[in-house]
Amino acid sequence: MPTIKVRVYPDLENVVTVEVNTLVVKEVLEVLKDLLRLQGQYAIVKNGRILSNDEYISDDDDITLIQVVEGG
Amino acid sequence: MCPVVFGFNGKLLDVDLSRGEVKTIGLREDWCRLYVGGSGYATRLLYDLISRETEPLSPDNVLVIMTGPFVDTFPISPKTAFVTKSPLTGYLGKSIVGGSFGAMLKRAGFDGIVLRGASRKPVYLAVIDGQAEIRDASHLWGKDVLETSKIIKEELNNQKAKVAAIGPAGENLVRIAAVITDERRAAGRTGVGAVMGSKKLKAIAAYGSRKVNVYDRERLVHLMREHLAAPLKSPRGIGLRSYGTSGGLISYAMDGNVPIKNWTKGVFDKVDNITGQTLQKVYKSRGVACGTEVVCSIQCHKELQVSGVSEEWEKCPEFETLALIGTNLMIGNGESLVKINRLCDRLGLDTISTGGVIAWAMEAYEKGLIRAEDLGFELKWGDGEAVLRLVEMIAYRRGLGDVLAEGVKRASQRIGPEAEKFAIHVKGLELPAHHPRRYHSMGLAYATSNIGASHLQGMTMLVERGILLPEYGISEIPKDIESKVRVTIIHQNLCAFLDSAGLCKFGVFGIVDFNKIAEEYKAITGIEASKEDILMTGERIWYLERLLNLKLGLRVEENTLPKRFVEEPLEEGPIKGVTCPINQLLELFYRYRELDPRNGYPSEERIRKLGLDISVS
Repeated sequence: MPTIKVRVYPDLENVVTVEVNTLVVKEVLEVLKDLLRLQGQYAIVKNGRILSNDEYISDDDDITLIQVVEGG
Repeated sequence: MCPVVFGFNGKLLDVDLSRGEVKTIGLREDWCRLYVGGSGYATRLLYDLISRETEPLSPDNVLVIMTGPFVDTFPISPKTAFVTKSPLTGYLGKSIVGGSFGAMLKRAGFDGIVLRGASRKPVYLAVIDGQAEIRDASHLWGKDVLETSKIIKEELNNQKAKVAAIGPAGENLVRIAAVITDERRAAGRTGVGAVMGSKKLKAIAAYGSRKVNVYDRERLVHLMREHLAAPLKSPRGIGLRSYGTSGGLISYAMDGNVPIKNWTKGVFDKVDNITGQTLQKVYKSRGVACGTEVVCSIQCHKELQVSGVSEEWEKCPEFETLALIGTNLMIGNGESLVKINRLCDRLGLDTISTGGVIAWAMEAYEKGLIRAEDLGFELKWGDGEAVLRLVEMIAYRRGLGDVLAEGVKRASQRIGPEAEKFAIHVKGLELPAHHPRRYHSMGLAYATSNIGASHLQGMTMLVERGILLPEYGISEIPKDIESKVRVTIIHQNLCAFLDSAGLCKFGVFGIVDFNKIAEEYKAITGIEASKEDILMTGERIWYLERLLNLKLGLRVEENTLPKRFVEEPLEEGPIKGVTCPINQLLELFYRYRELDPRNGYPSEERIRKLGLDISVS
């Protein structure tokens, strides 16, 4: 199974290594939310950009999970 | 009394500050039905009271403060409208503020206040339990907002009174001055604070204990419970409850939806230092409702304890402030931003416009159009100490601050044509933070908003980010020009309704649908309404605002965006290479709105169908 390194914003110093059975962003998000017991809407950031749901991440990628807040 | 429409007291205060007279006038039932209340009702009043010749900062201008039927009858509904002729734009000025001031005004027995004329000496208005009195404020003139509120409450011997006050910026007729209510919420936009200052009205204090009647209390209680529970189940509600609007900065920045260096850059490498998540991790934080009398399950108002700033709880800067004064000025220091935010609130300045005009000044400095000799210090990107000095200079109109106090449009005209090219505004109102290059429908919403560039007169970035409106047929994220135009029109109409009802938009979009809002509206007012009626009422209010602007001399070419967004793509970041196709968007907008593209006038037929009680001519 592929593994990815995840940081949950804003705790950027803590890296969690997670095994996932998919590399599609939408599905990875669901797995991570479930695993980390997160509520609300989240997005995956890689290289300073939010990845869209239908993009893929790569095995061994270093990604950050951020909570999406729709403010004013 | 208003005989049929529930949700109101049925009366307004009519205050002539030139004569020192206060009287009571009745609320018009027909206008409640047509324009709801809040900003819609206030705009209709204003339509008859001002003209093209009215100078915004003269005694001839009128400031209307108005609540809607949801205020103090329903949770998550704190919004009070400040409506006037704007000293920034010369057109409709409108600012909608949260907090408990509106609720307390209603409890004092009045749905709104019409302020005319100008006092010769500083005064404040005390509205307490059905009585209104104009009081001397000579001893308050020059004091900041917090001191003013504190002294007034002591004088009234009433710590529960709610105060709407101006600071030195409003007194000095700074065109980007705000009115601050509840010591922390800003009616910031369009210079309403300067209008209060021009009337020598330092503050309004309100207190009362009355409750207005609603049409169907039993049904309303049921609807309240449902609405209060909804944010806790919605991703948007959960996000706002977690971090407030400040939590939006990180995902917006990663999506290319923030201004950086006066909208010229696509990446700011210090953004992590100033996000709501970081600030609330670094400092002790808490979340509360925007006012002590506001029942709200979102509690988006976040506060911080920052030892370097003060020992008290300080307001966590909102997203708009973090973006306009943070990323836009390239200040990557959270403590600096808390200090600047605090100073703006105390002096009574709109942080959006303040950020906009200082960003322009920094670019002018960089280009050699403003010199250190003009300022007395250097003005480099990212220098928080320089910004603190400049904020004071603006509020007190000292040195170059006197030029910046005029707002970015007039300031740039003063410096010359080269400086006008990077003055970022629509109709004179500085742009908020959502990016027209990223969300093209926001570009259209800014260009066609009736108050100038406002993110709250059509929050279409929400739709482009997936917060849809299936009840109005918007079930997919708009991708093409046509769907973006349609979404913009629908959102503008809905925002016009919400600003008139008094509901907070944070408690509606992405939280409950408009079938529910229609039910709530009926339970409060007794007015039969469907979601289609809500949309049509909002549309009617939007055209009313447009007709007022046309009466005031609005020119069609002013419905546009700064060229920077249309002709200058960014060279980096998530929206590298993208511009906003504003002309294509406008062409369809005029067609769908039935506005004549030559002069911006709506068709007689459209106005007749909407049932406005004024004509196009």
